[in-house]
This record gives sequence, structure tokens and C-alpha cells, in this order.
Amino acid sequence: MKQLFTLLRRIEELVLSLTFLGLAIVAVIQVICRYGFDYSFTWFEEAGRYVGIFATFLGASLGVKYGMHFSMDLLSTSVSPLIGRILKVLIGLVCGSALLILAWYGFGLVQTNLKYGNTSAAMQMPMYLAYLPLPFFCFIMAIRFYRLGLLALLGKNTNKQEQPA
Amino acid sequence: MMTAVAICFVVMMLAGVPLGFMLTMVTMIALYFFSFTPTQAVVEQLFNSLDNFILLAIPFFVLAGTIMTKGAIAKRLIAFINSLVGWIPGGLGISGVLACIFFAAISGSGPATVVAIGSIMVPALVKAGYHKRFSIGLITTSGSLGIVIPPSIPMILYCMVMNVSVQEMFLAGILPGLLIGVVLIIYTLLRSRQNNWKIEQRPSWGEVLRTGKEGFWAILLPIIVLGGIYSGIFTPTEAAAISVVYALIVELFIYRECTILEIPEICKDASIMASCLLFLLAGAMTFNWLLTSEEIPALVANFVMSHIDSPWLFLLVINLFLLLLGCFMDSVSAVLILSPLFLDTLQGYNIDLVHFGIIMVLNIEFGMLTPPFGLNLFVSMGVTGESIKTVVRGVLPFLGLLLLCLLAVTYIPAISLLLPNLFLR
Repeated sequence: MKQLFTLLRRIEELVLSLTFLGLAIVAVIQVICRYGFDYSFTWFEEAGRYVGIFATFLGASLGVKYGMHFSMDLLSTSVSPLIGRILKVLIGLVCGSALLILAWYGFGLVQTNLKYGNTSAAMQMPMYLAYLPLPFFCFIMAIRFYRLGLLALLGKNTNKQEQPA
Repeated sequence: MMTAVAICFVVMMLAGVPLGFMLTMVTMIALYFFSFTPTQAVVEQLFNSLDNFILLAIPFFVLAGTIMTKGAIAKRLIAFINSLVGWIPGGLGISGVLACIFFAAISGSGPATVVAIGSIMVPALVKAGYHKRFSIGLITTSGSLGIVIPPSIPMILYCMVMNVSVQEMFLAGILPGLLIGVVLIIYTLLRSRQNNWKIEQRPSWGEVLRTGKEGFWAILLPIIVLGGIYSGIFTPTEAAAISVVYALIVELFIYRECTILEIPEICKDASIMASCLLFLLAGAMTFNWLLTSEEIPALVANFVMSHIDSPWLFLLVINLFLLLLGCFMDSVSAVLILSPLFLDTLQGYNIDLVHFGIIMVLNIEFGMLTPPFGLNLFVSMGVTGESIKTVVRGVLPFLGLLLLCLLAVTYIPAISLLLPNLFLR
């Protein structure tokens, strides 16, 4: 079970890095084609935006796991360990629940778009696909927040690292 | 309604809820209890905030900075600049500042610049007999130019929340960045004359030529990136993508200091960091949308303009307020949340949004150099292995210089607006 989760996390991280790198490479190819062969990819701007949103939510969900999101932790790190733990449990509970609600709303948005068959302007891609990462990763983030809360409740040290750049 | 929302905002922020989530939740609460707009609109708003091609520039610039920091581009750049100016009095310090300016013109981040230049320059300076504290302070401060000299990640974020053109902001950052650079160089000259710091031997022309040839690929990059943006050949996002691919090609195939298998591992943390930054932006823009629909910026404008009668005083108050706020929260988040509040006020006082943006960026720079959230300080600690106390004391005299520059930029709008006025308006 533990190995499965590690594997999934590795895949997540790899997909994230490769998505951003891949987008950069395609963007460069696109510039070369525009000037070299007088041919521009009409679909790239749109695809870039949607893939970018997918990657952002994927990365944001990993950010929850590693505690890399920007927060004002001056006060919460200077209180006594017990209050700090209580705060962590509460944050996990509140954020997790809010994200569950967001995931539900996002799911509603996907359903509406599926029902009316909206498509994007340039690629004629079904819009529900563009919205899909939102409810999915909000759900994952909710689970990750609940997990952080639970770990704090059980008094286990979460692998929260120093906030990197 | 405003009181309830403000209470939620402050309580959640102090409790340490990540800011992006805090802003989203506050918006949800406000919509659910106090507005006729359905709460579902929050999701669409989050999506729409990120649905912008320019935003991809942020992960790209973060990645490019990381790849260049891990690779050899910075090293070759420093070697070349050293051979050019290293031999004049105080030359090694000056070449440290110049290397930071140059690296700032390829990367959009301050901490990346401190890592790239500091890890090589600080030991070199100390070895050449410069005071340790001076060396650390100089490079940590110069590194913060990374966000003033374009390209700059905080500038893109500011442009998104304030609806300003990224090209204009980038152009406006050049002169203030150079001003700070020149002030740092003059200070270095004075200090080294005073202390009689060792002067390096003048290298032969052949040596200059050799390092120039090796550093060629590093020097070419800012010319491509900035030249491309301003001549209209490509957009800022495309320029950012080009710097990623360029850095990859140069490190993998020309300098050959890392292998292709290491790349995903190098990019992992940077990608997550960029995503967190974008998520914070999405939260800030969603909150912003709530503020605008409740006409809060107009209320703020009324309040401010009835109490402060000159734009001169307003800018002073804003600067002081942000410097103070920098002691309580990360300055990028502070600027993202605060500046839209003053949108109407700025229009009332007839302050240019680009000029105000540069003032905000300098304030962010300040925040990066002061505890407890000064990212550059922590990065510098990591790079030099010194204690936070040594780093802070090293940076202290430079903060005075920066304060002078901040005042100059605040009250002489031409420093920021000259170039955009000349070329883009």
C-alpha cells in the first residue's frame, strides 16, 4: 500500500515537471514554425492555457502535501506545541471541507458543460475536459488536508519542510 | 458584511491557513452569506483567473532560473565579468554586482540570483580579503535585483491583479534596477578604497577573450529574451519558454554539466513552487473579484482621499505601511492582496499604475531582505553557511542605500516611466 502511494507520488511529480517542460518546448517549436515556416499553431495558445491550469492544480495539490503553500506562519509557529497542534488539526479540517465543497461545485460545472456540449473557441475541444482537473485535484487536496489534520491529531510529525523559494 | 469578512480574513490568516486557500474560503463565505451571486461562481472565478496565456511565463521563468542555477551558465558568466573588471580597485565586488545584474536579466527571481552568483562570488570575495559581512551583504542585496530588472516574476503577478501591460512593466524596471546597481557599485568602490582591499592582477587580453568565448552562451540569453520581447518578435511567455529550452540546450549539449536524466529531479521543486505561486494568484484574483463587485476599492478611495490630501503623502504612507507589513507577512502576498484595494485611489490621485507597480516591486525587494520573511536572507544563509545574525548584519548597511533608491523611485516617476513613455506610449 505504502509503495503504491510512493509510486503514485513519483508519477505525479514526474508528470508535473514534464508538463511544464513540454509546454516550454512546444512553445519554442511554435515560435520557430511561425518565423521559419510561416506557419502558426492556432491551437497552441488555448491548449497551453488549459494544460497550464491542469499542471497548476496538480502542483498545488503536491504543494499541500509538502507544505509549500505560502502562509503567514509567524504566529502559528510561535505558540505552544499543543495550540500549534490544535491549529493544524483545525486548518486540515476547515481547508479540507472547503475544498470538498469546491470539488462539488467544480463537478457541477463539469456536468453543466457536458450537458450543453460547450466547446472551446479554437480547438473545438469539449469544455468539460478543460474544467475536469479542477474538481479532481480539489478532491485530492481535500484528502491531503484531512491527512495533515489527522497526522497532527495523532501527534505524528508531518513532513512539513522549510518553505523553499 | 465587511466586518464579518474582515474577521474571517484576519483569523484564518493568523492561524496560518495557506493564503491562497484563505482568500478562496473568505470569498466563498462572503458569497454564501451576504450576496445574491451563487457560491458556485467561486470555481469559475478560480478557473478564469488562471485562464491566461501570460501566466505560463511564471513556471517557465522559475524553471529556467533553476536549471541555470544548477548548471554552469552562472560560473562562466562570472569568469568573464571578472576578467573584464576584476582588476580595478574594488573590482571583485563590482564584478559581483555586475554578475547579479546580468543574471537578473536572465532569471526572474531574487533567490535564484543569490544562489547562482552568491555560491561562487561570496567565497571568492572573502578569499580576496574582503570583509565577510560586507561580501555577504553585497551579494545578498545585489541578488535581490533579480526581481527589479526584467524579466521578473513579481512584476507579472502585479500586472495580473492590476491589469497592466507586462511589456510596460518590464521596460519600467530597467532604470530603477540599474540605479540600484550603480549605487551598490559606488558604495563598493568607497568601501574598498577605505579598507585598501586587495587588487587582482590584470588578466591578459587572451584571457579576456577566452572567458568571453566560454561565457558567450550566457551573455547571448538576455539579449534574445529582452530583445525579443521589446522588438515584438515574441510574447513574454514565449520568451520565458525560450529561456527554459535555451538553458536546457546550453547545459546539456554545450557545457555538459548535467545529464538529461537529472532534469526532472532538478525541475520538481521549482514546478511545485511555481504552482503554489499561481494558486496564490488565483486566490488573490478571486478575492479581488469579490472586492470589486462590492465596490470596496471605491470605498477605500473615498476614505483615503478624505484623510490624505496629496499623492505625495499617500505614497509615503503606503511605503511605510508595506515596510511594516513586511515584518508580518511575505511581501509578494501583501502586494498581491493590497494593491487592487488602492486601484481607485491611484486613479483619484492620478498616479501611474506602472510607476506604482515599480514602487511595489521595490517594496517586495525590501521584504526579501528583512527578517522574518526575507527569502534572500535564508537562501544566503544556505549558500554561505553563516548564521542568520551574520547575514542580517551584513545586509543592514545596504538596506539604507536601498531606502534612498526607494525614495528616489517613489518621488521621481521619470526613473520608472521614462523608457515606457519613450518606446511604448
